[in-house]
Amino acid sequence: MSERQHASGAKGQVGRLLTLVPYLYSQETDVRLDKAAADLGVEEKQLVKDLQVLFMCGLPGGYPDDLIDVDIDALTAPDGDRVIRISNADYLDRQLRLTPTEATAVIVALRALRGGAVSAETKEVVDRTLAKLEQAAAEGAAGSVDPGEETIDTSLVQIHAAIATAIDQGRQVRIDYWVPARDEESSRVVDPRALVSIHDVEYLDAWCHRAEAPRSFRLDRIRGAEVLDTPVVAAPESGERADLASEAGAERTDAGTVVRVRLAPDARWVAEYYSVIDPVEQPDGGLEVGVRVYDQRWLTRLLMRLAPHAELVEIDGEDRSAHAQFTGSFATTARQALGLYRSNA
Amino acid sequence: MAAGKTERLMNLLIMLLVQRGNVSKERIREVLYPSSHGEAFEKMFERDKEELRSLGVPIETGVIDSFFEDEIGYRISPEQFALPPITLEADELAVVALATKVWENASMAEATAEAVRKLNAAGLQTDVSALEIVQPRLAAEEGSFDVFVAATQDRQVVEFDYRGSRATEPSHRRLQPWGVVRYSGRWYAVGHDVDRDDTRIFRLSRVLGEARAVGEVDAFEVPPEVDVRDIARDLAPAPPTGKAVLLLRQGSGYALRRAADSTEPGVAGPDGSHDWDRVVLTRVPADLVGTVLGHGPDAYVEEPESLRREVASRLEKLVARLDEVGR
Repeated sequence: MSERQHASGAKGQVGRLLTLVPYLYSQETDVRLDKAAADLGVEEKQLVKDLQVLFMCGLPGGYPDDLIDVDIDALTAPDGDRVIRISNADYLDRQLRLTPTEATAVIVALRALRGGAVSAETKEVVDRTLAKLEQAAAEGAAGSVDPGEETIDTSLVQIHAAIATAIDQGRQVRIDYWVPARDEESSRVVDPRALVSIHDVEYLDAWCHRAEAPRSFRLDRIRGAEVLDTPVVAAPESGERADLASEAGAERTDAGTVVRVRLAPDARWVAEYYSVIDPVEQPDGGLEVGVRVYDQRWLTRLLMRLAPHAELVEIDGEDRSAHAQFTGSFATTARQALGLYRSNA
Repeated sequence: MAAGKTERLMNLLIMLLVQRGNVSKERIREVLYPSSHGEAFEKMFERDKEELRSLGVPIETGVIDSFFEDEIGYRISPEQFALPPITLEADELAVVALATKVWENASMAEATAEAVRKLNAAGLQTDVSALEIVQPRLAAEEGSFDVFVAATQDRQVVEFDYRGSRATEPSHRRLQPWGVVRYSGRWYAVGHDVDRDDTRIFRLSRVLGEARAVGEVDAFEVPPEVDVRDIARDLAPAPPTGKAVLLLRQGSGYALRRAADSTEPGVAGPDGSHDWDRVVLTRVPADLVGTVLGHGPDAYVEEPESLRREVASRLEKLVARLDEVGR
């Protein structure tokens, strides 16, 4: 949060007033305090304080008529209607120019948005908006920060749109869903219920006819979605929804196994990416962590992916045979992978 | 409380904005600073002007057209003060609303929100769903990002410690920053390295500790022919690869197939069998090496050589360690 919005300092307050007055003048009707506070991202209490100061400002004549008029009673009296009424401030009715930082921030954000536009129409809207803002910002203020050109996978939008349509129309969807732990892709028919977003990851909450159970599917793992003509079947009311935070769609009945893995410094990111158990710092700057594993294929993948910066310490405490078995098959996998390069050197 | 000062700043702003000509310093003092005189007044007035300017209020200085030619006056031109009139259509407002969600950097996010408020787009009901757009996110976690952006705008030299990709020891640098550019997912500062007397780029994630803006503002000018984006493209290390060619065993490698531009099924693989597909990627995902490694014997790199070598060398190291443990 910036100094501007929350500082009680004079500079912050002046900044807020210079935004507030034109905002009030631009509204077609008088605005309620709560709406203005929400629109401007300022707390109501602060907004009242700001208006009380505004009430003391005005033209340099020193006569009562010279001051800006604010209906303070409406805001503070117990029976006040909490509507903001100001007058005599016409000369402040236009917004202050964008500062270079503001111009840069918004223009760079729009340029980044341009990369995410799926259709030519949307791209055109973004371009139009950009042109207007660039003109308003004057003297190419934003030329110095460049977001680069990142190609964004736009297929997700199309899948999102297809599923939203299916939910609206109560129709079934056939999805091709990829389960990374097993590196498997399967096609299944589902009754879509809702699109939910958890920690910025979108899920489809649905009744899966293949599993005959409620399931949730990560949108970014759906490779294709086809809206079918068949209407959704009234799913048996299970009352409970699938555990969205889990590896969506994976049939998970047990609690998994906790394995201990030693991560070299280059592989420490794992601890931020996955939820890990009891991390222990290592003298070499690495980290030993516990990871819950539901499928040993996933563990193989993880260790391969991190090669050679991760090492299995133990599986499931005492069970030496499980450990030996996994280590043996992991070594085979690693040798086979290396073999591809050796045979064809 | 700062209310008294806010009043003074607001009244100064209003006075300079509504007057037709330049207002003399003495008149300003009489009306707004009646109890201050001499140096105390000068100091206070200077500070107030600076605070208004830092909010973006353009206070102009000029000579008052009078008998006393050397008398200085001040004004705020309404044209310079106000945002040029700008009318955004409903779909453009929706785009602007989305723009507030792009930045993951706190100060840039707030600056965007402030800009949107000034565009009078705050609180308007916008229908974002009509736009077919993938919401991009601009992360800029690098602690020095804000410092470099501000210094770029203020044209101020930045000092920092930096560890280059090959250097083992950090070195102290002074840069006249021309711009901050993202290139293949990373932020770089581009500018004139004062000590090396040359154009350089610095990856912000390799800046150690805090970067500091030092010295005067407007300390340098950006050469007119400079295009920071071109410089970054020339000087930044090439993205991992422009193109990668992989062999994937049939029925596996979905993560990589999703990103493929083309697939040629049923080709001969390094193991002599024909159950491989050749996929070509031009949009190379982040950590392609890791992704390929994760697929074990189901994925094989054909091109580029650098990627191939890195995958093979990491596998060599892994197997060497496994052999050691097994012995």
